[in-house]
Amino acid sequence: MWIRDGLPKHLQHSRAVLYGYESKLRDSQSFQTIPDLAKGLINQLEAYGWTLPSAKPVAFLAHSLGGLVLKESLVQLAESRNRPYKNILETVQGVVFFGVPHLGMERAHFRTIVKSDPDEALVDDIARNSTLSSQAQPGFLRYFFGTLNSGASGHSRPLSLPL
Amino acid sequence: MNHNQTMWAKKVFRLRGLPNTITTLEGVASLLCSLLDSTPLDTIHVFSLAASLNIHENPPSKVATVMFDKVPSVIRDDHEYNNEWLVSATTDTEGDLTLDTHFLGMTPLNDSHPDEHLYE
Repeated sequence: MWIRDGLPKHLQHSRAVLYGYESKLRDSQSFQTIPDLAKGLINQLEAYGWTLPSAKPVAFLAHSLGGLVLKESLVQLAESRNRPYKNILETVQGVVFFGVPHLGMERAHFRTIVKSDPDEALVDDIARNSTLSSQAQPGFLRYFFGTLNSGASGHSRPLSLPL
Repeated sequence: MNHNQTMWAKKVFRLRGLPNTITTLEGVASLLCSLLDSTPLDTIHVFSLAASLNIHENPPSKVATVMFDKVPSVIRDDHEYNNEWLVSATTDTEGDLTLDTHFLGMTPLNDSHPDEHLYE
């Protein structure tokens, strides 16, 4: 687990935290959608103190489907009028995406990954040209690309990690 | 080593509810060895130890990540439908520990000194 074994050694003064989620609803045969999973992440961030003034700046590392959940969380936080949620947003310094299907994924490819018992709600959510794919990406870009593009030079600001 | 043992030897477990007084990876392994049946100390491998993120605990309990060369009986005997197991404490002053493979929620992987903790 390089996030556990390598990252803290290279990034001094940082704490690494894993976030795990279940796409299936407890005690149910129903599955959660990406917006549901995004709400779950926001609830966890709130429960563990990221709305507080003492919260440390955060950089997210997101892999595959987790990147879609994170993007939807950030959009929900941006669209909320809840002050604590704005506090969470202000701690976010940037995101590194690893293999995230930003524009959706062919259903057949996703089914290959999940093999048996696919989460049909997720298959629909991340399919190419799905409602989520066609709305989430522009929403994310609208709220956050402008922020990343800010600065006197007008150029994108790269995420600076002290590697 | 048969297929099942190979599979279990590659599993990473999360261990929650460790006492705040445990401060080393060796301390985690020793405690687990004392609480699990037939699990020799040298078959327990602890890779991380960090304070729980639960802001309501004072002092916070600790969380570790662990692997086993040989799966403990508490897991081997109850894993078909289960991915979380209770490791009972031996005295009234110790809390029970929880082993899981689902890693749901937040899991801290290291501590940072309060005076030096700048990022997450």
